[in-house]
Amino acid sequence: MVNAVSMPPPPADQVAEPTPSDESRATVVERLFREHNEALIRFLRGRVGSHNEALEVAQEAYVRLLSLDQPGAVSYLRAFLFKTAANIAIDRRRRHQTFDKVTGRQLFTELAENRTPERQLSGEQALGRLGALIEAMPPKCRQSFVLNQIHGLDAATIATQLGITDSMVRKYVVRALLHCRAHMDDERND
Amino acid sequence: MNAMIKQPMPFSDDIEHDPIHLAAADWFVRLQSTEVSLEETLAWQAWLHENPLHAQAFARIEEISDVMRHIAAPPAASMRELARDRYDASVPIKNWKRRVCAVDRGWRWAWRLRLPPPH
Repeated sequence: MVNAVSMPPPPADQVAEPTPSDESRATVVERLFREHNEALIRFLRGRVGSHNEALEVAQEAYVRLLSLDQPGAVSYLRAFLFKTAANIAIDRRRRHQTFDKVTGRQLFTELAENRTPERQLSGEQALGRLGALIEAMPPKCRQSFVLNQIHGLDAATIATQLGITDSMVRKYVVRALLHCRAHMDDERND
Repeated sequence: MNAMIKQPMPFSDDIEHDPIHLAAADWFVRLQSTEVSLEETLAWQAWLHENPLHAQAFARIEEISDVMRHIAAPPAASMRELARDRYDASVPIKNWKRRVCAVDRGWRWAWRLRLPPPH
């Protein structure tokens, strides 16, 4: 205890993280979210099937964090967040192994990934038709969609490239997604 | 479960005009942005759980990004093409295509009949 008194004061950012009371818990979670969400999503992205599943797992982890009885300091909570998220991801994978057949990666993905020669051919043809559909889209819409969904650029970057607003890029991508979805449904019904 | 899959789709045939798919695609695109707020994430979750069709439509949109991994990127549009493009996303792409075809036909007829250009 005497030692504690003679210790140098903690750095400023640690002063800002006392054990959170109930009322500040949401604030702490929000702070974790702002500072670590991107890292968490990247961490999860390698453990689950899709970006949006990673978001869903992260979300569940935040909810568990909010319901902790004895939340500790932020550094502890951060570790807890990542550990919880990893566990949720593992649970989901186990559940998915049994449900995967039912939720069905449907015709397109099946065709694209199933490697018997005939199937591979018809799968490639289906992908070719989808490629042609994309090429026939209005140019700015096509460009937004390709840069966003195939090259993985974010809306802001694309907006600068095309000289349009972020929200316009997102509208284009939404229209393009629906156009592809309608086409895929048509092919499936043939 | 298998029987469920064989049932006809619970959505309208016209996916490009279906409000649930429009909302699903909108969420999908918003969530892919690098800056998604906690409030937005919660709102998305609430939307997903509101109606089983919401979750189903979202999964159907998400499936497209799986397929995109196998697609070769088409060549980039030229500056000229981009400059001439008048599509503003206010209508589905299929409507735009139909309109472009109609305008094109109109021009050809006008040319043949030597009429003033249609408006």
